[in-house]
Amino acid sequence: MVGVMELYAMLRAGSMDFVGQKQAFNMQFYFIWASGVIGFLHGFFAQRFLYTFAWVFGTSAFVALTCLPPWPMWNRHPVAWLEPKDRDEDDEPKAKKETSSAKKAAKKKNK
Amino acid sequence: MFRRFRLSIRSVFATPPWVVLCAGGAPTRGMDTYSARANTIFCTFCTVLGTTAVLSHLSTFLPMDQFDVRTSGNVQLNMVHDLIPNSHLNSDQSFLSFHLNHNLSQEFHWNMNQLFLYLVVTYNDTASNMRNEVTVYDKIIRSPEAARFKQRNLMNEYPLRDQFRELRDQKAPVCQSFTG
Repeated sequence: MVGVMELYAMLRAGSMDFVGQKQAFNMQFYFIWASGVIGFLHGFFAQRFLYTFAWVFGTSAFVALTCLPPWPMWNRHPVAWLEPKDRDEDDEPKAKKETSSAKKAAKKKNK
Repeated sequence: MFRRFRLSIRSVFATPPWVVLCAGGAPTRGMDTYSARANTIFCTFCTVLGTTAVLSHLSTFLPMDQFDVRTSGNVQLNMVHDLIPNSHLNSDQSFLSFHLNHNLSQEFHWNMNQLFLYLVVTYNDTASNMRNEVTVYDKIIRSPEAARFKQRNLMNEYPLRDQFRELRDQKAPVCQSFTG
């Protein structure tokens, strides 16, 4: 389960993980198209286009509630980042070179 | 820069074309925000609603009973109340009454909810005009119940007015028309 503050932070950030994005896209795509097919048949046999509209609009509203906000169900597959390398080790050789060259320059000036 | 451009093109074409068509765009990659998702949902909604609307229109051409049109209508002139010159407009005008009955309820189906009915008086070959058409009566029919109608002695709503003073001695056939 996700805590209230965590949920608030999630909704505020507004981003889903990559798997969640794909799932949310597929869900809205298939739900709204399925409602279109069902609504068309319902409207055709009842001879009222209002029913078709109600199906499509109602499903779109439902989908907007479920797929639009980044609910925790769309953030179940966070990207596993690599452990960051130690910064100091990375920078050490550069720093050494700079210092050595600086020393050489200083020596030249002295001569 | 160039590499980025190639990547974005590839991501668009990596999406199957039918998904791009049906959802109004490729699913967004990388930029995933509220507005991007709202745009996707809204595009799908519009595409589906538009598709059902087009299919609804096409379905009316199906050879089925509810799309079969069997209408009947009949207009009879009751009497010409007056035929006087309108000196202000310099034209002849006439008031008349008629009997009207029609049954257009078969016109209604899920893609036809309103009819505009109008009564046209036609008389040809006056001195100035080859063809004259004057609308003397109209109404809007909003339900199949209202499309069944029978009434005697209806007055015209708009006077039968000629462009000039050439209405006298004309035999005018009355014709009833309606549009969806």
